[in-house]
Amino acid sequence: MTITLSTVTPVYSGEKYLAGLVGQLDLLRTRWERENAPIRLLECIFVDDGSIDDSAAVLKGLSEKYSFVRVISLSRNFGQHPATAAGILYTSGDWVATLDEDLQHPPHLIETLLRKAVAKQADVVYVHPSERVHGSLIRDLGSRSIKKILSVLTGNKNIEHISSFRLIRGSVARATSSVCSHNTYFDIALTWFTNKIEYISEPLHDERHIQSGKSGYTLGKLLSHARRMVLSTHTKVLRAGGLLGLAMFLVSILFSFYLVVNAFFPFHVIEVKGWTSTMTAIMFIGGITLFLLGIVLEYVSIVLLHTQGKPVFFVIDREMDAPLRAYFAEPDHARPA
Amino acid sequence: MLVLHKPGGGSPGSVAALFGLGLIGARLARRLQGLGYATAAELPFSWGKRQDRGREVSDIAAGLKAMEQGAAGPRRLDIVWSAGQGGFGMDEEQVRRELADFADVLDLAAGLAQKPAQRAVRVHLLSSAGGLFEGQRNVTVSTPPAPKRCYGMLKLRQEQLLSQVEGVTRIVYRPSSVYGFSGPGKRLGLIPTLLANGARYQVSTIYGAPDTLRDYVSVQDVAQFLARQVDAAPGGSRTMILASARPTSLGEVLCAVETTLKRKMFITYRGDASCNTAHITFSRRTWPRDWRPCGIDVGIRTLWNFFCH
Repeated sequence: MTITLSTVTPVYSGEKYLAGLVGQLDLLRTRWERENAPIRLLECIFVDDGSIDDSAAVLKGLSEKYSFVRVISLSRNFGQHPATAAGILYTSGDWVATLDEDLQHPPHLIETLLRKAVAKQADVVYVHPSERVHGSLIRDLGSRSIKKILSVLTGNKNIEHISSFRLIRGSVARATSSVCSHNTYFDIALTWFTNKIEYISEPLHDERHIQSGKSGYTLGKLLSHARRMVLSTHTKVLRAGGLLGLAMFLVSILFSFYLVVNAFFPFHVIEVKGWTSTMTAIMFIGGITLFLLGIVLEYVSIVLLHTQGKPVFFVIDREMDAPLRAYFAEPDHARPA
Repeated sequence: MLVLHKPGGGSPGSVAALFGLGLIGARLARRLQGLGYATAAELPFSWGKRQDRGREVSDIAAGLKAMEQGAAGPRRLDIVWSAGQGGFGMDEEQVRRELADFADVLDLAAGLAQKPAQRAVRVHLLSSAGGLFEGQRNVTVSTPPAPKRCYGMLKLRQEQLLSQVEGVTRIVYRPSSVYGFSGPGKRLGLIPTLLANGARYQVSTIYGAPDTLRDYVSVQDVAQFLARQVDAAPGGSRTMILASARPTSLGEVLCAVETTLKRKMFITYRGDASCNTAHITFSRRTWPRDWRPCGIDVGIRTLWNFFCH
C-alpha cells in the first residue's frame, strides 16, 4: 500500500521563489521514488490567490514542465487562510502538507513531519521555528503573543506552536476546510477535529522579510488575523460574557443585601433619601439583565457552533500509518522523529 | 429509443438516435431540443429481450433511412448510447445482457455507415470514469483503466467493442459520479436522496465512509457538453474524461446539503472494508476543451431549486 502526499501552497507574490520550491519538491518526490518508499508525492497544488506579480505565468510554465504541479486560480485575493483551505479541498492525498511560497519552509522537512506524525499517531504536525523567523523583535514577539492567546482560548497548548508549515492527515484537512467559513481560523477549526497535534522545532527564516523588511502581513492584516482567531473560539468568548453576567448578578444581590442592611442598621450613613432603593433596583435589574444576556449568549454559542459546522464527532483511520512506520523503522531510513 | 432530427436547410441535416433515456439521456434529449432538434420518432428497443431484437433493429434502421430519402447533400447520424440497467452493484448476467444490447446497436451503426458514403455516422458512448478507475487517485487521460467490479468491466468491454467498429467516428465519454434528478419514480442517486430525505426529516443510510473521496459532476453539465458534441461538426474519434477534478468527501457533500437545506441531516453509515469506500479522484489535466463543470455547492443548490420548483 502506497501512502500519498499532497502539498498546498498559496501564492501571492512568489514569482522569484516558485521555481526553486517546485525544484525542491521534485527532489523529494524523486528521492522517495528512487528509495521505493511507501509514500508518493501525488500532487503539488499552488493556489494563485490573486497574485500581484508574474506568479501566474511562472506557475503555468511549471505546470507544463512538471506533471505533479497543479494550479488553481482564485478570482481575487482572499488571503492566505482561505487560499489554503481552497487548495486543501482540491487535494486527494492521505496526508496534506501546507507550505509558504517563499522557501522559508524547506520541503525536505516534510519527511521529518511525517516521521513525527506516524511515530506519535498524530493528525497534525507543525513546524515550530526554533529561532526568530523574521529577524525583527517586534514582529516575532507579536506573532508569539497571538499564539499564546490562542493557546489559552482553545485550551490546547500545542497551538502555541502553530505555523503555516504543517502536515495534516488528509481526511482531517479536507473536513476542516469544508467547514471553514468567513471568520473561521483554520488552525482553530483543526482542533474541532483532533487534539492529536504535535510539533517539531526547526530553524525557519523568512528571508524575504529579513532582506526587504517587507512582509505580506501588515499590521491591519495581523489584527484581522487575531480577530478571526478570537471569533473562531467564539464559545469561550461568549461564555466569558455569560460568566461576567452571572458574576454581576451575584455581586448585585450581595450589594443590594448590604444596602438594605445598611438602611435598617446604618453603619455607613447615607443622607440622600431614596438612594438605597434606587441603587438596589438598579443593581438588581442590571444583574438580572446581564444574567439573562449570559443565557442568551450561551444559546448564541450553540447556534454558532451549529452554523460553523463544528462536528459532534469525527471518525478517523490511523491504521494506514503502519507501512510508513515500518519503513521509517528500517535501519537504512531510521532517523529521530 | 428516441430519434431526434435537426433540419438543415435543404439537406436532411442531423439525426440523433438516443438509446437510453435515463438520468443523462433524458437531459440530453432536452438539451438537443434546445439546440433545434425535434423529436422525430420514438421506437421500441426491448432491453435484454433478444427475441424481438432483429425486428426492432430493422425498424430503427428503416426509420432512420426514411428520414434521409429524397434529400441531397451531406448527412449526419449520431447514435448515442446512454443506457444502463444496472449500477455499480450489477452482476455478470446483467453485464452479459447489456453487452449483447450494445453489440446490436453497434451492428446497426456499422450497417448504416456502409452506405451511402456521404453519411457520417458517429457513435457516442457514455462510459464511466468511476467504474474504470475505481480506487485510483489523480487520474489523468493516460491512466490505464483498472476496473474492480462487473460494472467497470462492462464499461471497458463496451469501449473495446466500439473501438473495433469500422467506418464510424467513435466518441467515448467517461463521466465521474454524475448527480441529478432522474425523474419521479426513478432511482435516485446519493445527492438527490440526501436532499429528499433531508427535506422530509428522514434518515439517510450511507454505504461508505465520511472521508471517501469522489468526483461529482452535475448531469446538467454533462448533458450540455454532450449536446454540444452531438451538434458539433464531425471531428475525429476521441475519448474524454468528464470530471470536475475537485475531490469531494462524503462529509463535504453532507455539509453542503445541510447548508442548502439549513438543517441537520439524519445519517447512518453502513459498510465494511469491501464496501464502496475506495477513493476516486481526477486531475484537472483530464478536462477536454469547452468542459467547464460547476462546483459541488452550486450544483447542489441548483438541484435543490429544481426540487422545490
